[in-house]
Amino acid sequence: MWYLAVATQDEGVLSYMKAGYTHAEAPVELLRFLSLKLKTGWRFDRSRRQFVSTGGQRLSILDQLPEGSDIVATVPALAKADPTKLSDAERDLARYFQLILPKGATPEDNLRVVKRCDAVEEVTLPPKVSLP
Amino acid sequence: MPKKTKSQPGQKTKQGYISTTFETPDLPDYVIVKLKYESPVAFAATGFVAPADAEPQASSLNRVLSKYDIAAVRSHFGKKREEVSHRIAVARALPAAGMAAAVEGKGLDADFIQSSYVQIVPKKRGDAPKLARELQRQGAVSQAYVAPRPVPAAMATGTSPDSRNFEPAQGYLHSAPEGIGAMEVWPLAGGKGKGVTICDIEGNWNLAHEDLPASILHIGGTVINDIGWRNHGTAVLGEMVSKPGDAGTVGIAHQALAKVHSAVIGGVFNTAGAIAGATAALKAGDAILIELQATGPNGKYVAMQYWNDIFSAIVAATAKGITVVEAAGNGNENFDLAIFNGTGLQKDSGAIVVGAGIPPTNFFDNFGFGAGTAYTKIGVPRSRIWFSNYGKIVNVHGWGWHVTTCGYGDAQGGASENRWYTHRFSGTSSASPIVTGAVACLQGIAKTKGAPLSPAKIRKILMKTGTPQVSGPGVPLTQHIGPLPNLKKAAKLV
Repeated sequence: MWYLAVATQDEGVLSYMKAGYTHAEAPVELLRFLSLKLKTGWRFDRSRRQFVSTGGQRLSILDQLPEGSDIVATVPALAKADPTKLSDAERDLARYFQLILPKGATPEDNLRVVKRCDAVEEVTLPPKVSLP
Repeated sequence: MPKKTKSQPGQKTKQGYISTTFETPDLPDYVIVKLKYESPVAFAATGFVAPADAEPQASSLNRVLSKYDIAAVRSHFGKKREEVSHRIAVARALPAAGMAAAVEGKGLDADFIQSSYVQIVPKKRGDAPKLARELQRQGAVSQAYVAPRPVPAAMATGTSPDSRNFEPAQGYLHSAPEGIGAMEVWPLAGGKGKGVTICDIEGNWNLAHEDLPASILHIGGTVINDIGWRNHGTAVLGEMVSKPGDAGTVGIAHQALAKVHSAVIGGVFNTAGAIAGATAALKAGDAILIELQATGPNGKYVAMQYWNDIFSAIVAATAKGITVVEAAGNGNENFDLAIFNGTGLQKDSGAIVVGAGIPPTNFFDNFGFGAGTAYTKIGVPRSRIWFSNYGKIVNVHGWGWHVTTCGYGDAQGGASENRWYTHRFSGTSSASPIVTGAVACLQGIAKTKGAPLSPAKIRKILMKTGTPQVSGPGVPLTQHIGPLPNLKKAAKLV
């Protein structure tokens, strides 16, 4: 009996949840970014729009990306902070950046450029966020 | 012949619920423009006119209209053009810009006020919102908006001239094993969450809802302008902090302060940034609720800590003594699968991860709504509800089905969203605020006794004292969602 009830409910209930009751998908325009984590010893120089290593090496990827792309710290306050005053988790979080793409550009099309960059430890597509 | 659209009974629409069948004639959408009282501009046959010295204002409006195919420009109050001609002379005699509010209440004659309202009817229905937005930016315009499309007032179920009291339907407040025993700890000092702040992270809220405290602060991020997101956030807040009284609902921790932070920052989703923003605004003993999920590698919804930056942000928040509560997600996903090895779904972020369980059979209403049958038939109370994610990192569960709270409008609807209530908030969405409210009650008690509990301690207490998860057909205990909090027992360990 229970199985039958679950099976018969499943389709109807989920369909109305998906129709917007507790469920709502993120507008797609909010998902035009890539999340990237810099390797230890690298930072992003916002004024020159380049990655800079502690050894002085400079790398740029913005010139290989669609015009209007931008790189911003995931948590700007942590990126600017003195690392010696941050907790381990905060230091880790300070290494994350978002590559924000202009309208019309898709994260998937630009993933490879970021992956090839020596300053980047990991890069991920944006989570397709929704309401639970 | 006008096109007819027909609704179905018991249907969820973008705006709310429909309980009766009705037909809507295919009327055109149009824009209502309210001219500033002090702007000497009036409508004419195909646009706006003004005397020479105010001509730029009229020209600017007409440039906007020229971009659209306009069917009609006319008085919103059915006045003829010659009847509104006097508005230009009156407007020129009024004080300078910015004084509209001041003069509005000072006996301006009704004819003059009505002469400020103009209807603009575009030929294409889809043009109305764009036209309204453009007109709103014009200097001569006080307000421009798409005219509402009225529906029968009896449409929404439970509509009432005065807000009803829904507290008896909030079974989750009641004693264990059915509820979490919130009412049993309210008499304790701090037991209503006093001194604790909760920050809800999602996308939108109706902070003007009549049953939410006026003190709720929006501390960061940009809202998603969508009624689905707005109802969701409103429902979440209602479970936790709605005001006590004779009407509406009452929150589990209704003396806690609430803040909200949108996960949209800089035009994109940045959940980690929102958690960090909330962390910066809170202190030890406070709580963050993550009311989001996202699609994982199996194509099913998973908890947000799967993503490394979000995991790090949660760790950073809990390290500061802030309890993070996180919806497990509605993907029917097993977090213990090999595909998740090494990911945030198999590591401890410090958060309390919340699954959705089946509530007891009482406190149920159906009102003939929806495709489903009574939840007496969907499973065993306190067993995993079929869509809830599960696994070792899921610590506790809350009611995941038909929770009574603010928003949506199926329990009480009507024209004003500020008075909407629901009996049907569901998912790990409805379960997580129940646990967050429980955290706030316990932290309020702990603070009254001297110091807040650490996030690890409070999680341990909730897991140890909760009413155990039970198995059901097809949902064995190995599909772990943990117990339902029992605040009466938990408070004894604080």
